[in-house]
Amino acid sequence: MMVIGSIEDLLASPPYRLKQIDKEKIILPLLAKMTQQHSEDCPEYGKIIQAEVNHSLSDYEALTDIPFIPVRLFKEYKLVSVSDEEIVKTLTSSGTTSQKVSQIFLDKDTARLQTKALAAIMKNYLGNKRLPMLIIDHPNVIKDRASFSARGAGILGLMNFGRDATYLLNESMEIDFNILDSFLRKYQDTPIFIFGFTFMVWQYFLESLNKCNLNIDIPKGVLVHSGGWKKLQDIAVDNKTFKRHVSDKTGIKSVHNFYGMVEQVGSIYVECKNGYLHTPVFSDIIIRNPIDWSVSSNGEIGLIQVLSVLPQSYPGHSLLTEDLGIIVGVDDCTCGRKGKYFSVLGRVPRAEVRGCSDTHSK
Amino acid sequence: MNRKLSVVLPSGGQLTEYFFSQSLLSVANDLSIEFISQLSKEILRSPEFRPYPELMAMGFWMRKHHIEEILNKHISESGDKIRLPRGVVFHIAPSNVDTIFVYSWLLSMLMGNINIVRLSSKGGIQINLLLKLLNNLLKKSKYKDIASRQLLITYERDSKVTSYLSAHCDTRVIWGGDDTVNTIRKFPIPPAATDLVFPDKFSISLIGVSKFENLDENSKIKLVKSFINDAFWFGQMACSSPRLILWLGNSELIEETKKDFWARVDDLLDVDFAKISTADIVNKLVTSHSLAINSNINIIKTKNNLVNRINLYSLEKMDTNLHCGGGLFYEFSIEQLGDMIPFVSRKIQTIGYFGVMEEEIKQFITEHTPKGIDRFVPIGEALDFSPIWDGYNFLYEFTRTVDVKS
Repeated sequence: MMVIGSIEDLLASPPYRLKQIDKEKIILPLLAKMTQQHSEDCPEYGKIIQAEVNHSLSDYEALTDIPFIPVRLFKEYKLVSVSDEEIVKTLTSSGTTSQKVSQIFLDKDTARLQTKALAAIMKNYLGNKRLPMLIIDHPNVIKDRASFSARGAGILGLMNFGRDATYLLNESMEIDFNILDSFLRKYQDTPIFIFGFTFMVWQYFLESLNKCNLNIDIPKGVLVHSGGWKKLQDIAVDNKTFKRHVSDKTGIKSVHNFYGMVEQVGSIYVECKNGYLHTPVFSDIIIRNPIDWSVSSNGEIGLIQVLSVLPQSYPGHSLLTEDLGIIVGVDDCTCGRKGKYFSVLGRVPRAEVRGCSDTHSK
Repeated sequence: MNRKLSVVLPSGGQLTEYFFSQSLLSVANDLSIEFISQLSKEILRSPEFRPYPELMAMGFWMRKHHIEEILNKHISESGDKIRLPRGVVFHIAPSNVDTIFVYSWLLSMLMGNINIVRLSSKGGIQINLLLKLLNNLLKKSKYKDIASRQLLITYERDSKVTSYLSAHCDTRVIWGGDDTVNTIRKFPIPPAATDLVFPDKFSISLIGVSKFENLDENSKIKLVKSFINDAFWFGQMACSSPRLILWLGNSELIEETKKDFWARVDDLLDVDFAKISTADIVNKLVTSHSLAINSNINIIKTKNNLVNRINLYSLEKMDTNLHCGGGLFYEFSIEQLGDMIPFVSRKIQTIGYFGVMEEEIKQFITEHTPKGIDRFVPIGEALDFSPIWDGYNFLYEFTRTVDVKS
């Protein structure tokens, strides 16, 4: 694709330095071009764009004009814009067994762009040096290297930013205290990068420490976690409580949640010290009012649409998620990062079951 | 026989051999008529029921006058043919539209049958109100012959109970759509018994545009309100809810009428009535895009997402299973009724019509012998219950005919 060169340039620049208005000037033509390209190369996507008679492909005047498809479509259809031979990696979402999973097909370019994007973001939070890394998971989640679950992909992606990556858990999801002990001894005075999925950090790290009545002390630790709050919301744990427990049990003060999805790997939104998620220069979010898809004002709740210039091999550059969020502000977070910053408020509640047929009640 | 089984009604009722062996009441027995009309009176005068129009409609349907009208129409004395009850009727109620089985149960009672009804365990407010009222009525000694012949039960999904009841009935009524029908059908019924099944259905509104064009302002408003009622009750998920609109007439007039019609829907559709959730809206987007992938369509820009519209280019390849309800309308134009024939499968249930003469419909049916369509009703009556449903005449299905020749 022609746009790749421009995207590479973008990825080489600092991810949070451009003001929103300047960023939009750069990514709008890229996203417009990608819309056109994907509608030519992915027949299913092309039919959707064709069916949406309202837009003509050439006049996108703002990011909000770029058409979006629901992220769930990747669970129902194989949406891919390259030939089978060009696919180097397939990512799947980690749904429960009863749910359908998303399938995302990456070619070499997209995989490379994702890696670079992630690097640009993570370096901004972790610094340029690779830190010793502790993974709150067990090593078998990345066994099969041809097909990754979101969990495996997340771990592998972030492993590039650490060194001496060490898995804390065994396959029964228990802390291996020998490993923990020797790791902490080895890196007593160094900053440590700790990564895990939010629920697993809570359940198998913090709660386990709690049960053993054990506190550890990693004041130089940086905890990065992701994967959604749903399970924790069910047990009434919010970000504040989570952070307090992290601090109490481990002494870690630097905790960064991030929002991202397997459909847009690489474009992640990381929480700053103020607790807000930030949009990097190569991706953006729009909050839409579900009632008419109009763009919500800052501070107004709506559905989150995610835009990213990374997906070249599949039409995932503009997706409507089923997550609710609000834009907190633009360009003016006191952490210094430019662009939009936002909060995620959870998933859209499920629809009430109605109708004559019981099949919907499952 | 099963600890998970509980009898909801009548209080003190028990599932015993005796229950199945009782004598049968007669077809159109006076006691049932009186019981149903008493039920009607109490529903209509109780303030508790007033917030639920579907229950009020049910109470209205049960009026003595209306019941007698139904009987006169369908069960008239015809010389040497005498109707008798089937015997024991086993009803499996759906879990979602949880009041529809009441109609078939009462008609079966009216025909003199012994009834056992499996209620969904997740009953809503409406059904609980109704059960409370029924309980009080069935306690009265004058209705003891009715009470002893009805059993409303719930049980967790348990194949033993379903198997036992299936083996002991003369007619089995399976509501709840394709999956329930397929599951329950695996349990054998006695060789002479019959099944009435209610699988998934798809319904349509048919609008003749030249007649619409000529309506005065008030009549247009009335028609659009009727359409809104048909479409938005039960979140457009009842089997009779219209999901496809067939526009009948010349194409220029159709385009004009559509503009007028949908602008009126936007005007008259109340947000609180429509009850469209964010999840519904996302579902509609997924359905629209899935449909775009599977067939040639246009997604029409609407004022807001209470109503979403899809123009079909062909009826033949349309996947009716994709439809998710919540105010999503497929649209297709036809020049004459016969144009819908390629699309009409056994799955098509109701056609709510406007601007077409009854004679034209009858002619269409006899001329084309459609493979589906169970009922044509004026727009606004799609959700009204009728003793003829999904191709069955309940009064016939709940009875058998004895032929007495001289």
